[in-house]
Amino acid sequence: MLKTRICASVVCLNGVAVQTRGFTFFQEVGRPSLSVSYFDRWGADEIFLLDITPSDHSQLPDFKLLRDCACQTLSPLAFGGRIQHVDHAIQAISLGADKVVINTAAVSNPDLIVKIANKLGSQSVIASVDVIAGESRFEVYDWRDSKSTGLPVAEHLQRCEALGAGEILIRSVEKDGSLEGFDLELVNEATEATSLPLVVSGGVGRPSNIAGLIDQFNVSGVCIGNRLNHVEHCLAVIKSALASRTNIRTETLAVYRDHQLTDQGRLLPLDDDALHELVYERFVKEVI
Amino acid sequence: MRCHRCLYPETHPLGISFNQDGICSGCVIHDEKNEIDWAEKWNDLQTLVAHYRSASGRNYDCIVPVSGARDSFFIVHTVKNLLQLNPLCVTYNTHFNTTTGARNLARLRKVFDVDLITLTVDPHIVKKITRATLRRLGSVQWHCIAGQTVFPVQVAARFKIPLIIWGAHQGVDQVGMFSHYDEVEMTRRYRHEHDLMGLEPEDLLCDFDQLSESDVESLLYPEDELLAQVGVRGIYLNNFLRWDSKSQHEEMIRLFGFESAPRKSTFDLYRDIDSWVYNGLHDFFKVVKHGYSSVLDAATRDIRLGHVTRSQALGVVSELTPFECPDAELFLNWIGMTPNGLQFIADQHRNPEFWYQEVDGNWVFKDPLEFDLGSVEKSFAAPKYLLTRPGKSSDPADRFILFGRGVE
Repeated sequence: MLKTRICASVVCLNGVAVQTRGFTFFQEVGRPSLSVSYFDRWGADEIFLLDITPSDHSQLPDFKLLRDCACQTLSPLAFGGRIQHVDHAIQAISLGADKVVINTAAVSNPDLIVKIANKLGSQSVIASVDVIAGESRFEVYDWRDSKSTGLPVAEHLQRCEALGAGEILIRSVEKDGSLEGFDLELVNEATEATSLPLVVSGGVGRPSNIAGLIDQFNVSGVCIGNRLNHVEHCLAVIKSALASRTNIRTETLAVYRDHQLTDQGRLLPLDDDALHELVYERFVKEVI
Repeated sequence: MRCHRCLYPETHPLGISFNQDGICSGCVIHDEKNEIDWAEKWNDLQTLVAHYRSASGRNYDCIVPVSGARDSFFIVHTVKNLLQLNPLCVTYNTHFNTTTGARNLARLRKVFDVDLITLTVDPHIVKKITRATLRRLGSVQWHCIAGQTVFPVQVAARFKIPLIIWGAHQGVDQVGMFSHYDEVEMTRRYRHEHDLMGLEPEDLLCDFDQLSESDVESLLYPEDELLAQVGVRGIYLNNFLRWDSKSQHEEMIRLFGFESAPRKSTFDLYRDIDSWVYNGLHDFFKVVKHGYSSVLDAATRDIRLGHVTRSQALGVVSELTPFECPDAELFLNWIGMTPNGLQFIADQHRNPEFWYQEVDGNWVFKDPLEFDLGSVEKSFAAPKYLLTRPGKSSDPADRFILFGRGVE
């Protein structure tokens, strides 16, 4: 049985890693390469490096950003942002990305997915879908125009699958940065619409958000964004909370084996006696 | 561009963003202070620290990093008297100590009745490190921040005291890097980029600077496995209290005799008065690299808190920002450099965004903080800060103090 991937997203605006809330409020966090380096160290199963810098179609993807980040991690790296041509995808893979993420082009230039899948394989193409709740259904959101495209999500997911995408990264716009948990109705619709591996993003605030999702749906992975910047070793702490409940990878330098967490997912201390045991190294007196 | 409400520029080194009204993320996050239910936050804090109270009394409940200034009195008062915890205070010796700082640190121990551990790194090594950071980063403060941010973590890991209680998170306080609702905690990642300017101690190793592994040993961050084993956590009080540094210091002056001191390049008489270097040389290097100095930080803080208006602050900031290298005789003697040498280093780090060099070699500041005041009448007035009477001690008042008595 495949393990559930606990992934990290590093969203970049003008070369700076940012936190995002509802796709409108951005708070600069720092250098993307440092974020990537630390998330890898903390145990990310995969890292999504997503460049959301607005630009016109003539601009190339930010390969410098990719190059700076790819050398900081040994975890699988997915790169997205302004990929408009199969040559961009080839260049990205040769610079160290394992997969490319296609977002707006999946709507405006669906042939791109076909070409990349033919050239590099379906496993190299992730169709990223931002979703907003329309009047009566979930619709695909265009982040550049900040409005719905009117496309029903289920239809779009099925088209991406038919075009040859290898997996889907799905994100709720309303839940983005909310720390309230995933939009489970959306996940339900997505899992019913496509059989492709699904990575869910948008809204993780505490480990129970992830546990709740994995309990109900067979998703391939979850992607955590803002929350990873709030706490030391965040991914390792979240994984320690999930380890007993689900099949996840726990190889990381910092393993929080014996710690409990609060409901909000914050670390609780070991009890007095356990801490006291750590203070001294005990040598048992040898009795002959 | 500059924030329309405070004075922070878009070039702020921590990273800053602006909304459609030209208000910066720092001000947006500051406004949360008016919405947050602080009584509920205080309860949350009490619940949090209750987990860390040592049931057996065999160990300290938490670690509190302190110094002779910077809200230390307020933090210890909150932790010891209000939260009723038993803290172990730790302090990193910056070597640049003023006699006021030495007296405040001594007084802190007495009035709060706390245990205090100090780390004083070998002066020879500190000087080598500072020469290296001056050369590579244009920073005279680097070793101070490195020590102040790592020593509490080392003590937490070694003595198995998991909770560290800090005052204000600089990213939240200055640029709104995180929301108060995020309750952001201490991370090595933040320290690496924003406190240490991208260079950890390991990255300083260099034959040219004559720095080897043993030289930086005292500033190394504990291993991830050790931090995880102990469960080290650093929390920030400004996520749980309505943080107002000026008012807090004044309460500490009133209740506990905290000493303030006159300053040359800022109107804030409370912060960083324990350091000869911070207001002065460090300010000058900040202007060289970032186009502003700590008086602008103080003005922004006080504008947001309502202690001064933006137009009042403008003139004071223009007047007090050091555009030329101040008298640095004490520092030069300490580190073993000439004034020309220091000027040479400063010139290597001039940010072309703010400075240009004339034909004769003089450096000129591009934007002399000429703000568009519009029709607002120019009324320049600094917020009123209390200057206490200097205490008495046997420490010299005219030089760096390596180890002060703080009392007569």
